[in-house]
Amino acid sequence: MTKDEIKILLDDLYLSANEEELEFINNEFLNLFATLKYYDDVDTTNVKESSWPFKVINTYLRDDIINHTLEVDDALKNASETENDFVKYVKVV
Amino acid sequence: MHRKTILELRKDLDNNIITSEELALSAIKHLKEVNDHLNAINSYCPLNIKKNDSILSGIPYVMKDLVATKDILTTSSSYMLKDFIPEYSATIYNLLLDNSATMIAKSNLDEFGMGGSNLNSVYGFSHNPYDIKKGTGGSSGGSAAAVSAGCVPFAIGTDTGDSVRLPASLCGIYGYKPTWTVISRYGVFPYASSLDQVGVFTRCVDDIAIVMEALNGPDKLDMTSLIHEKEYFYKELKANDKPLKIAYIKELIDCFDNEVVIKQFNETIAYLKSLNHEIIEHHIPIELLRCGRGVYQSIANAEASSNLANLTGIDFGYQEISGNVKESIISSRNKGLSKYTKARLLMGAVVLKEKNKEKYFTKTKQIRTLLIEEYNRIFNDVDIIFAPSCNGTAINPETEIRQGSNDAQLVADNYLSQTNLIGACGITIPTHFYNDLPLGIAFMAKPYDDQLLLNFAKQFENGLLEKDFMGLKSFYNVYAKEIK
Repeated sequence: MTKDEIKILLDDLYLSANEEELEFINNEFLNLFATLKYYDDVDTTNVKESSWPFKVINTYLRDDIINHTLEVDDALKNASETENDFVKYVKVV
Repeated sequence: MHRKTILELRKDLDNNIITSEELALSAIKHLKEVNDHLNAINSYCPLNIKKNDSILSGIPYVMKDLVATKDILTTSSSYMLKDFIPEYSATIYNLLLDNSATMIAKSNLDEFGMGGSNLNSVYGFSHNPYDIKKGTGGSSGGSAAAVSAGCVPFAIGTDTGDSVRLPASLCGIYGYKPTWTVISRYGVFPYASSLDQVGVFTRCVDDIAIVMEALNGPDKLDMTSLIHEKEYFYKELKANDKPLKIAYIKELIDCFDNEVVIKQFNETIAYLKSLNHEIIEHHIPIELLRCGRGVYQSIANAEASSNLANLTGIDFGYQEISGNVKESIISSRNKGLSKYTKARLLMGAVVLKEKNKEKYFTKTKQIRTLLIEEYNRIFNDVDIIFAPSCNGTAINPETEIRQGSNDAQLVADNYLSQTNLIGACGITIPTHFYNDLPLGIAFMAKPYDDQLLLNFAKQFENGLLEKDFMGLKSFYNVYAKEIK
């Protein structure tokens, strides 16, 4: 990864980094890719992918059920700025 | 009152030797005395002393500061959440409230659980009670330190890769990671959802079973927790008295090169044989074991890059306004998150990139399948798998490097995360000292064999206490040692 590639990735994730952080992140990438090179030694032809440790049998589609909700006042308590029943933020359009 | 177990404190409370209020205040006083050295605590909690007939009634504990507690500061050791006061509580906190346990403090951790050293905490790393120049390991380092120092009989942590078991081992206490899905994770800030599990630090096996019994069970707020029934781990706790088949993985053990750790492993084998267990050598290709670290990092970081995307500073968290919406979010996240967390999120994003997906992420999930199959094959033959917890004792995370520099050492120092990749249950038990620092042994059992693992651990613990085998009794006596 070049520093320019890292900067693109940072922008994708809505992050930024100073020079010292970029250097640190670059080293972390070097370590990651060094670790991932071991993948080349393992044949995964026709191997299924696992997204979970084991099958979770209760993942099913169902109608939404309201079981708990936050009051508006509570939901706004951690916002930096609010107006009426809304979070106030930078104008979008 | 210090250094006592849950059951010892229960007895003191029931015999009116101390009240719940006095016990909580005593624990807080002790924590405050040692915390200048340990940096284990992020904040102290308003006391909510309740009483009922639970074993945990009136027992003080420390909660990892990653767990949402209504109206109580919950920072995740992150600048992003430095002022965050949740409007809801995690299920595990509510369950401990139902049992009238007394939360006295929130403990230090790597930011959002993302780290193994505690260096990734906005508050700095937690120090090891056995040598305050050393660290506790992470991410649940503060919880480990609080129990190790004897301030509380138990503490709650979370374990995504080894974040309960490793700090427990480095701090000379018990660390337990139950089977994935056995405890609700609702309200536990997510790091990697296919790996995360709540865990517990204690000073003995009984206490693990007590806390596990209180916390486990289906919760409609966490869909993954619905697949099993409530279990009664303490009620069913009985020291194993049957010969078990216990395996070690030859290729993994060959990766340990620390002479003291090898000695610890060999003495543990002799001890297990003395308990009439059959020790069996099993094999997993080293090529696969070497991939374990990459698989863990790729999955954990990829899931984290999604899970932490809600940290924008808009509706909660640190906010910095800078131009338009995107620039403002970037400013907030830039200052709110550490360089360690940024690096992990980026590493997660890079394996998910369309151009890398086949090469890295798909392959990661395929190798995870192969690891699951290998462990399932071994568990079809044996009850338990074991190995040393890691390749050495605690280090200073700022000045020393725990990770070995060669391929084998990297496997030895990172294999515990494979327990999470396969969703199994695991425990670390303190067995040895080296240069006055503790070493632990790690045992794992297949998913949902928690009771078997706890019953085995109880037998293992009893033997250590009764036999003074390999001088281990001295380890337990040293629990009384004061912080240097």
